[in-house]
Amino acid sequence: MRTYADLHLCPPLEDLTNARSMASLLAELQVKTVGLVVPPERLSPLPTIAELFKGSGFDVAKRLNLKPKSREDLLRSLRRFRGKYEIIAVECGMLSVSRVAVRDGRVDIVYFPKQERGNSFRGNLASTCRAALEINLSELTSGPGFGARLRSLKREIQIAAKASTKVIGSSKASSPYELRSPRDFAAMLHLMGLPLDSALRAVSETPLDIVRKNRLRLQESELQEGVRIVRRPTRSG
Amino acid sequence: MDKGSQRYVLVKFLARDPLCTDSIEQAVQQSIEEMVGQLGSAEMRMQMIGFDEGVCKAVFRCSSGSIEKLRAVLAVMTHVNGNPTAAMVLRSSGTIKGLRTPIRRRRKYHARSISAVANGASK
Repeated sequence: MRTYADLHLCPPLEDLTNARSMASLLAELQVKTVGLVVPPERLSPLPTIAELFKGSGFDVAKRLNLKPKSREDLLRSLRRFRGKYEIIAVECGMLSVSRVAVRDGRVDIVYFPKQERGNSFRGNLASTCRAALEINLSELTSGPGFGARLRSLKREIQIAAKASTKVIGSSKASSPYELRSPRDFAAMLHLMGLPLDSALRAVSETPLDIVRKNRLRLQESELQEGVRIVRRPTRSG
Repeated sequence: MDKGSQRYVLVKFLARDPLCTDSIEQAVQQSIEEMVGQLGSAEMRMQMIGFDEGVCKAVFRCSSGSIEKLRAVLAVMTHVNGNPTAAMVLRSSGTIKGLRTPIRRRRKYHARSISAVANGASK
């Protein structure tokens, strides 16, 4: 059976009732791993809702959404927070930021807010992209101009597929009404031009891989990417 | 007329206010036309089989080639009659009977196997 993940949940950190109903719905939708947006000032101690999700049987990954104003701002934030979070996502509101974010190996996920006109996932960004492109369902469905957003999403998916960029699908839900079944979201991505197996990977294997790799990286920070310790020498040799 | 193969889906609706059958059917139909157009809607041959207002679950039928379209349409539905609503597919099957939960089916199978064993023993 496929394990699903939703790496972009941003519920209000104080609202336990809301978090509880989200957790029960996610369990019904067979989601096993969730990415919870936790701002740096709330990182220690972890908010109660993180414990609530863990108590409900979810694998909770801490996520930071960076919204840098400039390239320098982005690099400074990455130096500061990379070692503290399992997922680092960058909101690409400016082209100068997008160029750095897609190339930098410390960035896991990039997403393009729909409010920013003229800033989208283009071919030149896709060719150098090491991060995964995130499609947020709540941004697609909220507000007017649904048709235009569908068109731009279709274009972005085509560009990503052409450049073999990883795509992940998330809900960006802050309430249970914004949650959707990952399988339904995969169908949506498939309808937008992604092959069905890639669409299913976008809501299961790809996000799970991101979390797994970063946990390994956090445990063994001195190791290079792709290297892991299989066995340590014992005293007897 | 050849109906072709069909799929049934069990959909859960989560809404702030109570929902009724007509409003659900209208909203889904409207969402289909918004997303895939009238031609796509005709090809989907979607039909609502029933809606249980108590548990807010509905059963829909569509042509088997359109199941992904129906899932996508339900994923982008946000409102029913101005009421914030989320729709999510819980199960999909080739028969309505197949939409029952696997636990119940397993129990039934278990019961059948027990009765078969019992019959064998009595013979």
